[in-house]
Parts: sequence; structure tokens; C-alpha cells
Amino acid sequence: MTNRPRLRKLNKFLLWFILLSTFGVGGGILFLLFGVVPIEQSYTDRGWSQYRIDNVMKYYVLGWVVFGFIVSFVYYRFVVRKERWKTAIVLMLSSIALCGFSLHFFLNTGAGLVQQSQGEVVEGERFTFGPYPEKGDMERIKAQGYDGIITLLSPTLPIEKPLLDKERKNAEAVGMDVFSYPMLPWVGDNTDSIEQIRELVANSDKKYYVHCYLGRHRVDIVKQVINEEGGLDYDVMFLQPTTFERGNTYYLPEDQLLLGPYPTDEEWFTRIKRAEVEEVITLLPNDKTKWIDGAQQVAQEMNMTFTHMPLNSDFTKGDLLEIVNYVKQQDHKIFLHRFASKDEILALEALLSWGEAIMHPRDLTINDKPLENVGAKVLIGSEPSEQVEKRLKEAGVNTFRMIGRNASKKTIYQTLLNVKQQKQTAYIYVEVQSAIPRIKQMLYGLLYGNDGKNPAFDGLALTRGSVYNHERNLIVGPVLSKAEYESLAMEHGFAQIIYLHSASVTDTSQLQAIKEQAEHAHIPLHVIDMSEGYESELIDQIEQENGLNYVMTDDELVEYINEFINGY
Amino acid sequence: MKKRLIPLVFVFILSLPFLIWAFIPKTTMDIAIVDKTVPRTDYREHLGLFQILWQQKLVKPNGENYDLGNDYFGYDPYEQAPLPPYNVGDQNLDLIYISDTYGVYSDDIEEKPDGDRSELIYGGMSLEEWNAVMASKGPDTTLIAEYNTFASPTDRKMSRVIQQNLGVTWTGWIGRFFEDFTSDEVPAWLVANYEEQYETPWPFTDSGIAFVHDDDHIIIVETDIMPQFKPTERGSARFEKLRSSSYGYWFDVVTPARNQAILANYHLNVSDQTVKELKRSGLSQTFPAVLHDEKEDIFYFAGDYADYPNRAHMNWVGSTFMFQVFAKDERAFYWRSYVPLMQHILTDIQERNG
Repeated sequence: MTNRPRLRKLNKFLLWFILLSTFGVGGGILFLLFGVVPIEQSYTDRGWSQYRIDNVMKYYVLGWVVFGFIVSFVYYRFVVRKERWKTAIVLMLSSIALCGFSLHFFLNTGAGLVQQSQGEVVEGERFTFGPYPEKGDMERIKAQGYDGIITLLSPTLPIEKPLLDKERKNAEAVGMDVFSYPMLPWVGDNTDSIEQIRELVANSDKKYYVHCYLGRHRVDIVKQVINEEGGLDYDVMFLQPTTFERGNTYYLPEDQLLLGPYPTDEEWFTRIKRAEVEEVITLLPNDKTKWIDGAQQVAQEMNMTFTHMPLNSDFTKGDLLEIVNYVKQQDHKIFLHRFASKDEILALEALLSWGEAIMHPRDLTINDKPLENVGAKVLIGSEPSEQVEKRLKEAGVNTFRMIGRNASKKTIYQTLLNVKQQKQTAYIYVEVQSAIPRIKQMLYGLLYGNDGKNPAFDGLALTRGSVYNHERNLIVGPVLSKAEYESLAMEHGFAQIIYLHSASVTDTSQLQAIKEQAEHAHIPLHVIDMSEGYESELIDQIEQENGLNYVMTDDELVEYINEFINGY
Repeated sequence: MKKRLIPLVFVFILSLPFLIWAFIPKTTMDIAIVDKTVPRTDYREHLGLFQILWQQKLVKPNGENYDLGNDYFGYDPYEQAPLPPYNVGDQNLDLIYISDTYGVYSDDIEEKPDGDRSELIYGGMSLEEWNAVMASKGPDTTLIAEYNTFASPTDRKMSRVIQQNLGVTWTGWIGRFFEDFTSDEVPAWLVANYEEQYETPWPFTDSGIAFVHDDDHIIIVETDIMPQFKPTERGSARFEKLRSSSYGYWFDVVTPARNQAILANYHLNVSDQTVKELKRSGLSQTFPAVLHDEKEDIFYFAGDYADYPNRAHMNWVGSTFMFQVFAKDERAFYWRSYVPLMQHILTDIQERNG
């Protein structure tokens, strides 16, 4: 080394500075890959929050900087200052070699050691987040249908610029677009890039692969932007409709089957497509060409299978069974329709849900008087003669029940509920003709809710509040008083009461009292706790029951539930 | 040799409060915290509570410290997405603390918010969540709810249910002291609503209290004195270390619905004329700040009490006393009133639940 003091001083400074910078960069890269990343991962695995990890990691980074200065100080104090030139140069060259080695690994992202430190690929519908992609990765990304790559590498960082150049070159060779939104991997002003990404997310529906270097830190910021821009994901819930403009619909969840009339243009979209129907079966006779063609066209436009199974008005049980067999063989959701919800639809509904149907019930008479029918499941009339009984059996009646002159409301309700629970087509005969309308009302309630929305429920005032009339088979109201179980629930044939129990309003003793009252009246009660996810349980429960559902809740929550159901 | 020891002794003495604190044993306390207003990673709406838990060495049942970024139900500012909804399973909770349900708005996550009312991203208390909260409250669980547990954006019907459970009736008024009515702290919507209501440009340049009703009606009271937080006789008897202080953040005006004990009040130092004007709008000079339903063990804090902007390093013995002595301005409330109040409540819970 030189004897001139100033030059000697400069040499000492250069040795110290080169060691400090090369050790800082080289060691820093290795510390990041093999120190910081595994430590951070271990904290993540322990369930620490990102806030806590960030707070702790600050001290590791600070510790590294202090360590770098201590090393360089020791080097200067004990080697350079004592003019041990050989040792000084060897150590400096070693540090340069360490720096070169680290940079080589950093730039060679496919190396196994680097891959160990890289974040996992997180795939989403439009955005996939991951580490730096090599050419082979790009080819795979392109084959998977991605439209472009969003790179967050910053050309202002000397160690990332060559990576960015290489990426652009590779992307050009592969034929992919690269969108560069440079971000700094530490606290800095990334506002412009974040804004540009926000615009890209909002104004495009393309699919992108987003990456920084390791796919850990900067991509997390972009995830936030995408979450903000994309909004929150809400589960789309749908309550099966029970009435269309041209008649009632009936949903059989076990067969994934919706039966009903010919939908209007709006209903095709809002009620059929939205219900995720995959096949439309038209029962219209062959001469209704215009309507058949219309249904076929709509089905094609909405990407649903179209099937035509013509059914004439003098249909037989055999004709219906053919349709039933076809439907039973399918494993997707079907909408089956006629022009209006008439006898064919009701007979099919009975066959599918009870395995039996009373054929053409409107044509059946006793002493030339037509019998009252509730769908194709129950007939009501006077006591049948043996000859009539035989005729009724031939028409499909399975069981006969008598309701006596002095039968109480509770007894009648229980008898009818039993018919429903047994799933047996029935002939109910009465001693007193005047009882028929009441029995018919109860039966309608139990089996179909009502023939259309029942105006009797509109704004009906009960002891604890008003009732809201929603659907043919759905009303919402307050907790029933003891008397209302008989005057309302039995009278209108409630098929079930769904009690939405709110722990913040009703305690366990009140809940027990409700259970006891329902049990005493023999009205099926289903209790749903209003905790997270109760909505889907409620919808399932309503859809299981074509009869009248009374959604009962605590008085102060009736409006709340009413609005919730209105939202469907 | 002696000279060399002096600095070491000095360092040792300085370290003593930290060393003694380090040897204080940890105590487990099972706490569920709800904070939906976490747009940024400062977690300020529940930081004030966590600092007390750390200082008191109250830890989770598994022995770990409460993690500011993890141990709450609400919104994750890192992922910018809601955390899983409130669900504590069959735990026997010692304390449920609802610190804020106001939520996160699109403006909150902007680099430079314009202070206007913006689109709600997440927030409000849903019925399902509130049911889960009430279902998790056992007989030995203390429930503490703060300002904005039932106000906007929580649905009005839901708000009534929550008020019933908490035993308070909200008058519809909220308010806040502003040191400078021309500063950025004053929300743009407040100025716009005032100008629309009174058909005049915003005339205020000094300090004062802004009252805002749920129906957007606004009353401005010009004063340079913050609302005074004052323990009542009952409050002082129960919590002897609870001190009066100035309160300078958002509060709501509530009345007790049952026989709640009023442990502290807000008092406004305003002229008789102003008191008369306030009365015309259903407001009074003194109104409840801390309410306690002793039978159900439910506290209602009518303010943003756990809100603290930056972490205070208080993990040493005597820290709360020192901070109380040196605290000034709006931080005085935190150190002189909120910290002693919470320390008392937490000690009571420890004694009750062993």
C-alpha cells in the first residue's frame, strides 16, 4: 500500500465502504431470503396478526443494519486500521463474492433456494397472485387463459431492473401483455401505481397474473386494492316463487322440480333463470306452436335444455307417469310447465310428492253434484255409497276419512294433518254440509297455503302485532297468543310454524312456552336460532313446505324479518 | 472502579420499573372484542383497551398476550375484508367489549380522505351478530358497549333491540367538540348539512361543540371548553380512582331505560341562554356518560373511549400514574378517566371470576 498519508486514508475508507456496502447488500439479500422470510412464516404459522409480525420484523431489519455496521466497524478497527492489508483485501473480496453470489440467486428466481422463500400462488377468478414468473411459467399462464401479467417490480431498484427487462423480453416471446405498475417493497409512495391498478380492475374484466418478486408483500397490497374495487362477495339467495302471473307454481326440492304455468317474458328471467333451472319441459299440446317455439327460443337464449312432452287435455295416468319417470331420471333442476297451472300440473305434483293422484277430480260427482277438491290429493263431500266409493278408488282415492257432526276444530285439524303426513290421497266426508268450506280452507292451508295470495291475511291484526302476507304459502307475523293457535293457525291450516328465535330478545323460558303451546295445538313447529347463516336455513325450511308457512318471530323483529323476506 | 459502576447503577435504577413489571405474574381473562371500524393498521378504535390489557398483564386463556391485529371481531385492514363473524363457541367469557360498529367507508381507505360521507364497505351490527353476542353473555360475563354500538349504519329496528338489551334510550343526538371549526377534523358533511339547514355559509372559525341528530339536524354551540366528564357520587364511590377530565371526541346522548346507575356524566360549560336553546331540541347541560346495569352487569360508555391514536409504552410499574400526571388536552380523558375506570372494572371481573 502507498506511503502517502492522504491516499492511505482514502484507501482505508474505500476498503471499509466497499465491505459495508457489499456485505450490506449481499448479506441483506441472504438475510431476507433465509432469515426474514422463514421467521415471518413461523410467526404466521403461530397465528400472529400481520400487525404484530410487522412490528416485530422492524426490529429484525434494524438489527441487521446494526449488525452490518458492527461488522464493518470490527473490520475497520482490527484489520484496516492496523493495516493488515492482506487480510483486509481477502475479507473485502470475500464480501464482494458474497454479494455476487447473493445477486446471482436473487436474479435466478428459478433456483431452488429462492423458490423456498417465495409465496404460494393464490388463484382467484380474475386475479392470480404469485411470485416472479419465468418463461416456462408464462407459457403455462398463457395456456390457462390469462390475458396479461401485472408486474410490481420497480426499475428504480438496481436489482429488479434486470428482472423486469428479462420479464418483458420473455413476455414478448410468449405473446403476453405485461402491465408494469412499479411499487417499492418498503414504505414509499406507491399511490400512482395503486391508482392505476384500481382503474385497470374497475375498467376491465380480463384475467391477470399479479406478481412482485417473492409474491408476498407487494402483492398483498394489490389484493387489498382488488378487494376494495371488487366489493364484498355476498351469497346470492333465492326464494322459489309460488305464484306466476298465469297461476301457481309448486316446488319439489327432492326432485329439484318447479311446476307451473307459462312464464311471462320477465318471469323467464327473474324467476326461472335466476332459480338456476337447467332444463325446461313444455307440456303444451302440439297445436300450440307459437308458445312452444317461444319457450324453446327463450331456453336456447338462456342456455337451458328444452324438452317438449306434449300432453292433451284428456290425459291419462299413464301419460303423467311417463313424465314422472323422465323427471325422476334427471339430476338437474327442471322447470315443467303447461300454459296455466291447471289439473295436469296439480296431478303431476300429487304423483311426484305423494306417489298417487286423483285423476280429473272436477269430473267426479255424487248425485250429480260436483265434489270439492283440493288439488289432486283430497276430495270433500258427503258420505259415499259403495258404488261411489268404488268409483273414487278407481279415480285414485286411497283413504276415506269421516268428520263427525261434533268434531272440534282441533280434531278436524289433526285428522287433516294426519292425511297429509300419511301422504295418502283421500276422500273426506262430512255429516254436516256446512262444514265443507272450513275443511276446504284448512286443507288448502295444509297442502297449498292458498289458491293464490290469501287477502284475509293482508294487514291482519293479531294480539301482538300485524301479519305480513308474502306468498301463497308464506306469511310473517308476531308470536301467537294461546287463543290464536286455534282461531288463526288451525282455522287456516298452518302447515308449520317457523319460529325465528332471537337470543337477544327471548330467553329460554319464553322459548319453552312457545314450544309447549305449539305442541298442545299439534301444529308442527320448527325453531331456527337467528345466528349467523340462519337465512339459508329459513329459506330451506320454507321451500320444503308447499303448505302455509307462518314465520313467527318476536314482536319487535316482525318488521325486520318482513323486510328481509321482501328482499327476495 | 466505583466511577465505572455509577452508570451501571443508574441504568439499573432506571430499569427497575420495567424489571418489576416483568416479574408481575400474568392473569388469564377471556375477552371477546368487537371493532368494526378498522380501516387502517393503527387499530386505534381498540388500541386504548389493548394497552390496558397489556399493562395489566391480562392474557388469553392459552397464556398468550392479546394480539391487537388478531384478537377482535370486525374488519381486517391488511386484507381489506371482514374477519369471520362473532363466534366464541362455548367459551365462558369474562368480558365482551363492543368498541365500535361504525364500520369502514370507502373514504376511510383513501390516502387523502375528503371527509365527506362515503359508501359503506362494512359495518353496523346485524341481528345475527347481536344474537351471538347476547347468547355468549353468561351470568358472570361483563358486557361493555361504547358509543356507536347501535347508531348508524345499524338498522333502526336492530338499534331498538340493542338499546333494549343495553338498557339505554338514544335521543338520536351525537356530538363532538372541535378545537378549530376551520380544521380538516370537521367533516365536510357536517359543514354541508349545516349550510343547507340554515341556508348560510359555515360561519364558525373558533372552537365549539357540534350536535348532530339522526335526522341530520345540526346545532353548533360555540365554546372553548370541552365537555367535562364528571363521575357522579355513585361513580366515585364505586371507582375511587376515577377522575374528572375534558372529553374531546364523539359522544352520544342517551338516557337510562331501566334503573341503571349513572356513574359519570358529561357537563357542558355553556351560558344559560345556550342551555335554554339546547333544551328546545331535547338536549340538556348534563347527560349520562357511563351507565351501569348492575343486575345484568352491562356498562354503556357514551363515547369513543377505547380510541387511542398511537401506542403508548406503558409496560412498566407506575406508568399509568406518570401518564396521568403529564397527560394534557384530549389525552387527559384517556389517562385520568378511561384507564382508571377500566382498571377498576377489570379488577372487579378478576375478583368475581377468580
